[in-house]
Amino acid sequence: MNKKIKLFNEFLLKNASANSRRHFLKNCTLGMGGIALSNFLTACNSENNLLKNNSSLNPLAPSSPPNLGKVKSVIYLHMVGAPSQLELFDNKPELHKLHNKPCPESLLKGKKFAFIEGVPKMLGPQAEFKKAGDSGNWVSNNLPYFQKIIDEVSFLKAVHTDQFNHGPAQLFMHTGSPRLGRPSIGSWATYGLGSDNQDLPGFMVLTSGGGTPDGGKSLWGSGFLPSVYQGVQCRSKGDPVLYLNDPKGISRDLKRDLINSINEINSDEYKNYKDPEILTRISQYEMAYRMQIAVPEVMNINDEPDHIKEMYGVTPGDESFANNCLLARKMVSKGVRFVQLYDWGWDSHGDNEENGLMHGFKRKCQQIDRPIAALILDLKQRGLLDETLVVWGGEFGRTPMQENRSGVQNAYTGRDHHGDAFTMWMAGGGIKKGAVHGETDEFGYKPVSGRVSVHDIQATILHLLGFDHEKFTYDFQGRPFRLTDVEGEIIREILA
Amino acid sequence: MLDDFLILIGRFHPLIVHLPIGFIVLGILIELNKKKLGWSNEALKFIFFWASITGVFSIISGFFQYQNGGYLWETVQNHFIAGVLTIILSFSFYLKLIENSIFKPIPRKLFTIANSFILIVTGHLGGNITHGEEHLVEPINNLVGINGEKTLTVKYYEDFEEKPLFSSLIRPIIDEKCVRCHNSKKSNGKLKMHNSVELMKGGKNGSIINYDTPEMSEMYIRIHLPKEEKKHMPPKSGKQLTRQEISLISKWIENGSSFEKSIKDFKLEENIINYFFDTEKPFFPLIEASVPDNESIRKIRKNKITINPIYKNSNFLKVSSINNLDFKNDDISLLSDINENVVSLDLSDSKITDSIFSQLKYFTNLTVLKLNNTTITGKKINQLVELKNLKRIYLVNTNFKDEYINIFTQFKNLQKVYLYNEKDNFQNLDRHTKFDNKIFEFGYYSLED
Repeated sequence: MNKKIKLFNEFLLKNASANSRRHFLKNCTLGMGGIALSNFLTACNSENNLLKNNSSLNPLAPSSPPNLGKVKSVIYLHMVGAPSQLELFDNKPELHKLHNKPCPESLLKGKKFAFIEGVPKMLGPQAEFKKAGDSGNWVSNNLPYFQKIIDEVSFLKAVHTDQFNHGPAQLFMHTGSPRLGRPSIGSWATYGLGSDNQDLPGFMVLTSGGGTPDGGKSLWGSGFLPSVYQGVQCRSKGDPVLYLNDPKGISRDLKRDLINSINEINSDEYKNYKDPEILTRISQYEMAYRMQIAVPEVMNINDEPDHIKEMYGVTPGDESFANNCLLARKMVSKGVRFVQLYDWGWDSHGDNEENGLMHGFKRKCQQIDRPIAALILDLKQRGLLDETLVVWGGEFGRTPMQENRSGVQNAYTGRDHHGDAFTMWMAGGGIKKGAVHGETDEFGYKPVSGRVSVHDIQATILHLLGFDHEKFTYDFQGRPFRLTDVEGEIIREILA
Repeated sequence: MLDDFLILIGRFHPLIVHLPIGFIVLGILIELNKKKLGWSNEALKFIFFWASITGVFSIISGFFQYQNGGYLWETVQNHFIAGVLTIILSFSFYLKLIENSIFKPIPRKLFTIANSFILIVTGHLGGNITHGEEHLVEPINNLVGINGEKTLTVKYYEDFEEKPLFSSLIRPIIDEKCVRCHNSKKSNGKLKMHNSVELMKGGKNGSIINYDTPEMSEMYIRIHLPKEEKKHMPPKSGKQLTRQEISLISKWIENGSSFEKSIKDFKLEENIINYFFDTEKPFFPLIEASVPDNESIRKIRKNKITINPIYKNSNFLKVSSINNLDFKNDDISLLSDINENVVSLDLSDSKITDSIFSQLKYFTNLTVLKLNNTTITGKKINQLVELKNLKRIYLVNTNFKDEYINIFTQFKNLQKVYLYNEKDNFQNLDRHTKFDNKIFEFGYYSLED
């Protein structure tokens, strides 16, 4: 019994000493000093300017990049499945001579392919090439309308990636990592710059071609960034966004009151917990309310003048790449920061008619050729091309060999996945007109010069938006993360 | 063999120095608590004896590090002196502890204070050498949010064409990346590069430039060697030459290593010129604008007008009414306090009319003006002629009248006017031929031949 009382008294004493004035003075001075110092240090900050410290609670409030950017918006055209550079832009007459001959040993040594096994046959270019425009750059007869805008474009002919499967390669292209969990480039852009138009999301996604990308919605996910920065996918057919209309009996004013109350409660929660996801929730309620008016307007292509509809070749009501291109232009002119277009169906293995280079591939080319040319010219006539970056590409390229799945020749002509060298292009603000950077060998197999990586492309896009890709970071799990990881060099050769 | 051994000892300097530091810190702590401890004196004797011994080793290793590590005497001088002082103080204190008569009159407290002080100084100076002079300034600045303002120096190719390539481009590269180890005080490989005369003399293997076969020049070969090669210059640990710098130096050597030949004569490739020079004049004006005050910014933002600097540290602003489509002519007075800060103004889709121009003429630095989708007809647009910086005007889908188009020819620096109108059914086809297509964009493109 005595022992217990002793213990209890000791406990009381310890407890009391922890609350005593002496304890406070003796042991807490360092902490107090620290608090005082941090206050003093922030007071030293002479840059306490409203324009420089955006203290707004709105995570999508427009803000400025650290450097003077060349563009304020990006339209990224991704051809899902990886289009063949050898039938579009990379002219390889030498490959004709090897057509149907067995692939030389030297090209296969130490290489891994997605489907090719044993010794495949070489496949000559399945298209005619022609020099076009004042720049005299090459383009195939698959893209007749592209010739009209070829002088606006800078080609990257030796892009390489280390991924040869669609999902990881697409993730790599859009998030800088082939694995899940990183924010997409559009999320980075809206995180850094906010959204100019407060009635529309800053990052919008449209798909066409009948399929969604293999990489899934993570391609426009926000990763570890607050989820307010993820891409907003609009439906390509029917209502672009579901439930935009108010239900019967609910007036817009009533809805406003409701949202105000909810947001008030959420703001109190934010004050308590400082969880950025609460801010996301508040701004999504606000956004949804305003989107009810703004989205039907921006997503409506019926009211566009006829000559514009004709130029793009749109079919209102359908899901089409042409519609999406026109929508992309409308969004950018309304201040949307990043528009991501995915067009599915470019995986030309030749294993079926749809994937044949002489069949489905040619139809895909027809579907995108006119809309892309129209998009560039439409942006140009509205003065938007100077402040918008247009990027075109796939997740990798295709082999100069004909695919022989499991060692057997495919039914249609097609090519396997190939990441060592493929073509992408950029056009718009800050991009040199009619430039070509990079060159592949005589078969279009390996880069000979001007080899650029996926991270280089991302660094260049961020540079044009006004960011230094090495300093643009977000702290997560105890360390700063970058879109370009620890790599990436700006491709200055294509900058104006 | 011996050299390598000394280098090895030198490399251990950052490790060895922490021995005396530890001893001295421990000694000072014991000295401060000596009343409480009661056993201090014997321990202190032991501690400061070993502090002195390890200190001497630190100085020796530090000296080897200086000799072989590529440091200038100027950089290490203070650190060296402070280090020697530290050891002298430690040893003096030891002598006092063993009751040497010379140090008897000096109070122990003085030793403690001096020891602590000199230890901090020596340590900090050492840190400056390994991590750079700014190694504390930078994180502190970041902590309090002061960003080192980058000075905006613009270098145009046209201004340099006639100047010698060597003095304007090569010399700065050598100064930045070579002279640290090749100068009058320190000349690794007996090579000095701090002036042209010494540079031509070469090093212990003779001249580094070979005029007969430039590609065999020592300098040429070494900068091209892979980084891993021992003979690669600058050494792997030092700041490397960039791709463009290597090709510029190569070009200089290939063309006879002339000190006089002008930049123009070298016929540099475009990418090299773009790397070393600013080719185009900056888009926005190159003048300073005053800092806009918070009160007016708050007032403007309250009216749902978007206002932001063109980039983070700029006092120039881009202003837009994109989130306030009810913007009317009178609302422009909201911006009257920041007239000179606005370089980009977007009033597209708003309710403004032609009378806005009489207000816009006060925006002296205005460079980009967007009035798309408004009822502007162009009447009185001549009031903007005074705006010397105005470069781009956007008038897409407005009611702009043909009769006013000619006014734009009076604008000094105008680069582009966008006059495309969706509803203009080819009524004025001759616009395309009548006006300079470089400046006027009427659009209406067609994909049919």
